[in-house]
Amino acid sequence: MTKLITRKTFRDIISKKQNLFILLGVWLICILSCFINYIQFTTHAASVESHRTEVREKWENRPDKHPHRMAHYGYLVFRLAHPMSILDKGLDDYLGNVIFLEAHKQNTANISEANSSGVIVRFGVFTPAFILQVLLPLIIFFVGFNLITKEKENNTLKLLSIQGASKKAIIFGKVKGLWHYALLLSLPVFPILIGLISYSYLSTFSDILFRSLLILFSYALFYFLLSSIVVGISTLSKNSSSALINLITIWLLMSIILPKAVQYTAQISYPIESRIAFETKLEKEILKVGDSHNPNDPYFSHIKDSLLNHYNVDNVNKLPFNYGGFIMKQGEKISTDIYNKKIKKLEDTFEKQYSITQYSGYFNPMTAIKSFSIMVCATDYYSYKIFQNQAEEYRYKLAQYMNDLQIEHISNDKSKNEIISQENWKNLPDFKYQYTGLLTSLQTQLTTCSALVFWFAISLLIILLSIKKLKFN
Amino acid sequence: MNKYLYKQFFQNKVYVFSLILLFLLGIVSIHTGVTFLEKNNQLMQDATEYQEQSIQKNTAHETHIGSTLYYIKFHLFNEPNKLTALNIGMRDFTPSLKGVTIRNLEEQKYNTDFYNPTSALAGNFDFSFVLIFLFPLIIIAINFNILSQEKESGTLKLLSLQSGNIKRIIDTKLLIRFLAIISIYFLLLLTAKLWIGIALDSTFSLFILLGFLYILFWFVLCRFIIASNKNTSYNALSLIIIWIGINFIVPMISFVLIQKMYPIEEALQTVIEQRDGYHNKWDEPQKNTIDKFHNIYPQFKTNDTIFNNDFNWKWYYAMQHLADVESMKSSIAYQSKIKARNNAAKLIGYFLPSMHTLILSSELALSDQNNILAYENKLKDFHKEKRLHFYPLIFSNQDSTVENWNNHKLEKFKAQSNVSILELLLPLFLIITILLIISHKKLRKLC
Repeated sequence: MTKLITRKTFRDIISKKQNLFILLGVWLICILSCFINYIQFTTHAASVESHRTEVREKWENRPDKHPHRMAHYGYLVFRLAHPMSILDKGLDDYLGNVIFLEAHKQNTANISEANSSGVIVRFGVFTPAFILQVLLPLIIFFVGFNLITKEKENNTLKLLSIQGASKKAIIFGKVKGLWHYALLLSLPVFPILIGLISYSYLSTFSDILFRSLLILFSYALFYFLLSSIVVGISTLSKNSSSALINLITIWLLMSIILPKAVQYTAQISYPIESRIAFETKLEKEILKVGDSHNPNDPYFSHIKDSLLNHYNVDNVNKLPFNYGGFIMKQGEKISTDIYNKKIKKLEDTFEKQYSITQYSGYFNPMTAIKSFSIMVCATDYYSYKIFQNQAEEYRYKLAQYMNDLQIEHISNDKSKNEIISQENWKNLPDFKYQYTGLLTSLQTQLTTCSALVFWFAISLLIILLSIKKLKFN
Repeated sequence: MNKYLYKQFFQNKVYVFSLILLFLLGIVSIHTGVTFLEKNNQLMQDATEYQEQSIQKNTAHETHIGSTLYYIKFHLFNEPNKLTALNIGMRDFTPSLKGVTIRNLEEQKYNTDFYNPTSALAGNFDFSFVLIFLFPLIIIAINFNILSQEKESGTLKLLSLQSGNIKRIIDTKLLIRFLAIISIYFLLLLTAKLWIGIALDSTFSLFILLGFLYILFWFVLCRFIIASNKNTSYNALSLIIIWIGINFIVPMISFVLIQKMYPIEEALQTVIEQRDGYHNKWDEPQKNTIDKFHNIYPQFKTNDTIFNNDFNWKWYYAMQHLADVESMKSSIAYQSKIKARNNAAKLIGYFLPSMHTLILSSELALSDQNNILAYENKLKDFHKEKRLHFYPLIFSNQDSTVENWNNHKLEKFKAQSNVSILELLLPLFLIITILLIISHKKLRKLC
C-alpha cells in the first residue's frame, strides 16, 4: 500500500504542468551553473599553474648570489582550489590567493576574489550548491505543502482509509513520493558534475567519485528530512495556506535568519585580535627569548661563548663555519616556534567561532548540510588552514636551507662579498600543495558528520508524529 | 470605515508579532554596528600606541637612518564614519588599517588584517541586511492577502458595499501597513542615531531617503501583485519568488557575470613584477639603478657619490622604489579592472532595487569598493610623502637621531562619499512610478 501511495503521489506531482516546468527549470539552471563554475575553475587552475611555473623558472634562473639574498627573494605560492569547488565554492571567494614566503617573516595570504568584487559579493555566488542547498528546499516546500491538507480539504482521506490505506502507509507514501520528486530534481546534476570535475584532472577519479557519492548521499538524506517536514507540517496545519506560510517561515529561518544570528553570536563570543596587536606582541615575545640583532643579547652571547669554547678560538671569525648563518638559523627556529604557537591560538579562535556554526547544525539542518558539503568539497576553513600550514612549512624549509648554505659555503670574512652557484637553487624542491585527504577531514569534523545522522533520526520522529496526528475525519 | 481597517490590522496578533520581531532584529543589527565601531576604535588606539612603541624601540640605538627606516612602519587609518555601523559592507574582510615602511609599496599594500573567512562568508547582521532582506519579507507577510483573504472569507462584498470602492479599501489598508512599517524604520534609525551618535547631515539624510524609497518600492510591488486579484497562495508564491529573485538569484548571477566579464589577472602579476623589479637590481651595476632613480627624482642628484659594489642605503632605497615603478602598469590595470567591476554592478543596480540600495548605502557608509580604492590612493600619497621626507636624510647619511620622531604619529584618512542625490533617487523613483501606474490601471479594472 505504501508503494502504491508513493507512486501515486509522485505521479500526481509530476503530472502537474507547473511541477514539470520547475523540474526542467532546475535542471537548466543547475547545468548552467555547473558549466559557469567549471569554466571559472579551469581558468583559475590555468592561471595558478602558469604563475607557479613562472615563479619556479625565475627561482631556478636566479644568478649566483649570496644565499641570504635568496632567502629574501623568497617564494610565491598560489592557492589552488579543489576541483570539487565547481560544486560548492564554500569559502573560496574570501580566501587569499597568494602568499609571499621569505626569511624571518610570515606573511598573510593576500588578494582574494572578494577584495576585488565590490560590495555585491555580499549577495553570494551562484553555484550548484546554492541551488541544491537553498533553492531546492523551497521548491520542495512549494510542491508539497498541500499533500495532506488537500486530502483533508477534499475529504479524500476517508476514501483512502476505506480503500485500506493505513495512516502509516499514507504518511510514508506521501513522504517518499515527494522525496522521489526531490531526487529527480537533483540527481541528474551529479553525473555531469562528476564528469566535469574529473575532467579537470586535478585530483584522482576515485577521490572525486568518493567525495561526490558522499555529497549525493548526504543531499538525499537532507531531502528526505525536508520531505518529512513538509508532510509533517501539512498534517499539523489547519489548511493549505497556513501550511504554506509555516513552511516558508521555516525556510526563512533555516536559510537566512538563523545563520546570521549564529554568525552574530560567534563574533560576539570569540573576538579576534587585530593583526597589528598580534605582530607587536609576537615581536615582543621573540625579543624576550633573544634578539639576534643585538650584539650584547644574553641568549645569543651565551651561544657565542659556548661556540668559541667548543672550537677553542677567540673570535667568531675564526670559526670553521659561517657564524652569521648559524645565528640566523637559531633565530629562525625561535621566531618560527613562537609564531606557530601564537598563530595556533588565532586559528583556535577561528575554529571556536566555526564550532558554534557546526553545533548550530543541530538546530538548523540547512547549516548541517552546508557544513558537510564544504567539508567534503574541501572548500572549508580546515582545508584552507592546511594550505597555510603547508606554505609555512615550506617557508621554514626555504629559510633554513639558505641558512645551511650560508653556514657551509660562506666564510666569516664579510669584505669578500662571496656568492654561491645558482645550481643550489634547483636543489630546493618546488612547493607542491597537497589537498586535504577526505578521511582526515571527516575525522576532524565529526560534529558535522553526526549532525546528519541526528537529522535522519529527527525525520523519522517527524514521520511518527505525523502518523499519530493524522485524523481521517 | 478606516477605523475598522485600522483595528483589523492591529488586532491581528501575527502582524503585531512580526512588527515587534522586525524591531528587535533591527536593534540586534544596530548592536552589530556598535560592536564594529568599538572594534575599529580599539584598532585605532592600538595602532597609535604600537606605532609609538615601535618608533621608540627602533630609534633607541643610534644607527644610519636608512637602517632605522627599514623597520619602522607608518600607519594610515581609514576612518569609518558613524554610518559604517549601519552598513559594514566590505569593511569586515578588508583592512581599515595599513602600515607601510618606506620600502616598496606594492609588496605591502595588499596585506590584509586577520579575519575569519567563515564569518565573512556568512556576512554581517548589519542594519542594511535587515533593511534589504528582512523588511521586504515582513512587508510581504502583512500584505500578500489583504485582498484575497477578504475575498476568500466572503467579507469583501460587505466591505465594498459599505465604502463602494475596492481600490480605496486596498489603498487604505496598504497605507496603514506602510505607516506601521515606516514607523519601525524611523524608530530604528532614531535608536541608531542616539546609540551611535550619528549626526543628521546630508549623508545620513540620503541614507534615510534611500531606505525609505526601498521600503516604498516593496509596498508598491505588493500593490502590483495584489491588483492581479489572484488567490492567497498565488500571491504568497509570486511575492516570495520575486523576493528570492531580487535578493538572491539576479544579484548572484550578476556577480558571476561581472567576474567573468572582467577577469582579474593583474593582481598576481603585480606581485610577481614587484618582487623581480626589486631583486633583479641586486645583480645589476649600482649605477644603472641610481641613474634610473635620478631620472625620476633629479633633485636628489649628487656629483660626488661613487657607486661601487658596496652596500649603501641610497642604492637600496632606489632599488625599492624602482620595484614600484616597474609594477605600476599592472597595478593601475588592476585598479581599473576593480573600478570597472564596481561600475558594472552599479549599472545593474539601476534596474534592481536591492543591489542599488546595498551599493549606494555602502558608498554613503564608506564601506564600498570606491572607499577602498580611495584609501589605496591615499596610502600611495602617504607613502610618497614619507619617502620624500626621508630621502634627503638617507642620502646625506644621517643617523636616526636627526629626525624628530614625534612628528610621525598615526595618520587618519577620512574619505568623503560623493553620492549624487539624482543617482540615488532616480532609478528607484522610476521603478516605483512605473509599478504605481500599472497597478493603478489594474485596480481600476477591478472596480
